[in-house]
Amino acid sequence: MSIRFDLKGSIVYVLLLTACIVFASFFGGLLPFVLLYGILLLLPVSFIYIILNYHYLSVFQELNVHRVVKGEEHKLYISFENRGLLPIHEMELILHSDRCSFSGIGDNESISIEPWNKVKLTPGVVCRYGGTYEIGLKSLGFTDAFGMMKVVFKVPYSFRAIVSPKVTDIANEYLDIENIINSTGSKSTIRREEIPGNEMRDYYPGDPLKAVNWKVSARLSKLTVRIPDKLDTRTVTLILEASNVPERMQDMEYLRRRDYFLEFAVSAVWYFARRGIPVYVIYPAGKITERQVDSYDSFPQFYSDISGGIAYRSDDEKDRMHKLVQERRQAGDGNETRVIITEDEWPGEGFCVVAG
Amino acid sequence: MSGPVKVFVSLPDKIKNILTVFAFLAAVSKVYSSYFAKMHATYNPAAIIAFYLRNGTFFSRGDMYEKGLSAAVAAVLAFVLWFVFEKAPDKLHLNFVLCLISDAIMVSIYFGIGGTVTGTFTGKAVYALLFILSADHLRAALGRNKSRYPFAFFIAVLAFLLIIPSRKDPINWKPVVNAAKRMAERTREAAHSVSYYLEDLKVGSSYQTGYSSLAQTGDSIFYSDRTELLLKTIDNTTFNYIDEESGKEMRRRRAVYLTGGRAADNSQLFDILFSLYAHDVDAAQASLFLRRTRLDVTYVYLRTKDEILPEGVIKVTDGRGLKVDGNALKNHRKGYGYRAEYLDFDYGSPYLINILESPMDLPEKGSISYKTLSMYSYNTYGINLSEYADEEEFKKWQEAAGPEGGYLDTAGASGRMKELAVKITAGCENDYDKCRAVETYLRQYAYSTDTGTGTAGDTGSTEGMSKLSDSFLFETGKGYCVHYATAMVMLLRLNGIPARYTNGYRYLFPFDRQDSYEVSSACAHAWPEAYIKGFGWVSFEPTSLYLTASERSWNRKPADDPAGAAVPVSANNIKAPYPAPAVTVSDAGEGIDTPDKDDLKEKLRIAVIITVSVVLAAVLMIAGAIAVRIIRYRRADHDGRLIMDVSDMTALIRAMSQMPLADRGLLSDYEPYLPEKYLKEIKEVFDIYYRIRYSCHGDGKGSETVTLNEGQKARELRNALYREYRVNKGGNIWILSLLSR
Repeated sequence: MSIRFDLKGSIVYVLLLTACIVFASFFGGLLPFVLLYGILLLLPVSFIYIILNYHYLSVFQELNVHRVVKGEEHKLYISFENRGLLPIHEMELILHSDRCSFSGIGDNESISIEPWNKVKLTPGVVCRYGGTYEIGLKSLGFTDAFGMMKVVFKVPYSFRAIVSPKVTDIANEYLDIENIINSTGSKSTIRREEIPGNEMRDYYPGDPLKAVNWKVSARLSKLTVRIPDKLDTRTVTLILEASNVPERMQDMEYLRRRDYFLEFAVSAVWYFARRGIPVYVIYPAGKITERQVDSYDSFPQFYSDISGGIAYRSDDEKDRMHKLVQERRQAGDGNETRVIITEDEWPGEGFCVVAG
Repeated sequence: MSGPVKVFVSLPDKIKNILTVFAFLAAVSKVYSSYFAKMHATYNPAAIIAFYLRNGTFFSRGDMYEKGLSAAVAAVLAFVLWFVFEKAPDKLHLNFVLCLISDAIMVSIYFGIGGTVTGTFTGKAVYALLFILSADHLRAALGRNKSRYPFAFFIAVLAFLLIIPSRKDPINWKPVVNAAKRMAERTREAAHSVSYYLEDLKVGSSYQTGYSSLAQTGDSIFYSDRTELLLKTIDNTTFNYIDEESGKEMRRRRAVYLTGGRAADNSQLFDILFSLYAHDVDAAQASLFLRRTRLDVTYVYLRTKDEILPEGVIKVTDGRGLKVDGNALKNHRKGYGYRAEYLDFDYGSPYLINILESPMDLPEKGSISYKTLSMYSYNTYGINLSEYADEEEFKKWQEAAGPEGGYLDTAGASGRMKELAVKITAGCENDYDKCRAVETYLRQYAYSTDTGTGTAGDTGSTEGMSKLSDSFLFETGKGYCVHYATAMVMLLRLNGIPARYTNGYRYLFPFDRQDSYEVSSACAHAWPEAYIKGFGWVSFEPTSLYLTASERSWNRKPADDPAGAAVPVSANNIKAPYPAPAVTVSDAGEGIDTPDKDDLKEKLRIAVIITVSVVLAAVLMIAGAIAVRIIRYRRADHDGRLIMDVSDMTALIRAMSQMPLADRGLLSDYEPYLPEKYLKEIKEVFDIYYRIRYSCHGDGKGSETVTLNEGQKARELRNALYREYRVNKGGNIWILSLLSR
């Protein structure tokens, strides 16, 4: 709860109160004291009135979809119920308009609710950023009768949405540079190497089914594939080092960075997936997870993980990720290109670092 | 209509009235919220007033005809108001105006009937109801969107108003004022405590009023009111006397002189007793000018080794009744105290003056024995001499020729001082008369604490006192007690009268008795004492600010001779007709100053100091800001300098443009306002600026991207713009002078 006083109104109130005190200091009887008490009571009674208004107010808000996509409009249902005896007058609706666009309702719009009445609103909402954050109605403002004081309450039931990032060409520019340096992308010939013999190895997710040696797999009771005759001489690994910002500190700046980070990550992986180039992605999904994406089929699972929110289950996990990034930057093998995307930029470095 | 209103006192009536008001209220709410919603219940207060105005309350027992008439009047009034409202084009404002009229009626009733309204619950209900209706209308009239605030809120206010009892009398602020006074007093004490405990740090160098055992220079002093001593006395603080001129009984406050740095002096006691004995003064005569009393003294915010004792002290004891010798090695702490027994003389009494004027006729001290003096002392004054001094001390006193010490030292006295001393006392027959003549002469000098600094003399040595006196008497012509006292001491010594400088307090008791009396530092005082042969040390008051002994005399007269005709008194002792030559000082025109002028000068001095300080501070701030900018610019690399140059350029462009231009951080905003002749070059500099801001350095060490020539170009452009601005808008040049480098 926060209370704000209007400067002009407060000055007038104090002047009036002073005048009443002066009046009551020189004259006794009903008129001076009724005036004095009346003026004096305006603010405290207003405050009690507002507290009671809020106490008997129920607010509920929900979306018509389970998962929200950035930039798409969804329907938001907000319902208010005044369960008290006192009417609610021109309650100000303060929306999360910094992160969402609304249609059918304006920010700071006011509504009045009679006792034992309900009001339902169904505005459209468009989320501007990818990530997990609160959307919809942010807080409620109540003003006293003479506009001297405004009491703002946070909405008791806030709505937290998981907003999926969009796949765009945001990452192409960086990956093109990677392509020029390492010549591993679709714009240049993929360097391959002939492998003699029929070596076997364990099956990894992403290996084509035709490579599975069923006989050997049956004998060993585990999926075993033939090592292909031609191997890509270089592999691409995408490391997503997300920041670990506590929820209470997730401001707009954080939301914008996270949005860019997520969009960049899914776009970069999509860049490879749609070309059928296998890419290993290392990212935090609670714990540090490694996944190979090489096709339209394997991309959705990754996208689902990313959209669900990337986070660390503990500070140790964050430290591990950081350590991993440092190791992979400095001591990678010659056949691997590492694209490190850091949500918190290191001093003197860019958002995306390509090493290889 | 304006007859007195009956007061409801009985419980059933009161309950009935409560129910009545609630019924009214319910009716108002109902009317407001349903059928007459558009009318906003305007006429209801008018109806209530109509009930209220009648002679008697509506629900009390009375004449039915009268009740009916009242109801009819109310109904007509309500109808008229309703009709007017219905026909009015602007109902909202009319509503408000009608409510204001109702308010005006009630205010008229209040001032017309006054106190009779107080106490009736109906009256309170009417006032409260009118208040909330007025507030509601006011809110509606002044509100942004003219919407009505829920009337339930105003009903809540009304409920509180009805519960809270109103007062018949105006607000009593006395407890608040007293509490504020207590708080102010505690704050003052706390400030004094801090000052007291910080005293050892010797913070500050200016003099302020207060007791000091150190030599005083006579420099300017500042007023201070720190409590330094606490006195307790069993005496009355005032005495009554008959004023000779008016014949009326008058009341006057007692004064006490407290001397610092001296222990109880037995030789003084012997001198006095012997003098009284020799003049054959009995108890009745002595009571006309002498009384034996005591005083409890406690140190508060005072740091000194000295004992502060009342003048004429004969015995000092501590809390356990033991004698205090007055030889402390360390400063006394806060709370240190003692009880002083002393002889209080009325030096203005003609009876005592008669004794003081004829000490030469006394027999030799050796002619009296200790036993005889003890018997006289006990029989006449009830003083057991052996309690205060033994026979051995008595013999020493008998053998002593006079006061020991350099009380006749006149080292450093100038020739003009000697001439003045002789001139003042010419024609005086005895030492006492000479003392009074000098005292009278000095009282012509102006009192002032603003004596400047760097005075030549001080009170620590005879030479210092001579210089101080000479300066006071012939140069400045103004001073405070230190100057008067030293001057009198030196003038008396030059006349061959032993004299000494005394430092302590002069405290004037208040009219009302108190448990204790606070002696503040403002009471600190210095005065001279002259040794009148045969009587001892006698104090005088040459400081013109204070009354002389004669002016504050007890005016006691013998019971059998109230007119005092039989008293052998010299006429010149009463009205002080001592011939006093006119004061001549070298710069008298300026020197004889009044306290008001001093005050004005002091205020002017402070005002000048403050003004100069403010101007200096402003100059320093501006100079500091310019210096910081120059240093930052010089220490910056080429990139940094270019960024600062561009920042200055944008500020200059904003100042030069006629249109208000908000800085959004985009240089493109400024392009339309750029001078044509510099347009191309400035755009190039802006490009360089963007290159610095948004280029990505691979090594991350912030290597410079601006070449020397580019930096030079930006600086020249900035200076060119600055010159352009000076030419075009020279009137406001000082605002941007900060930009000059």
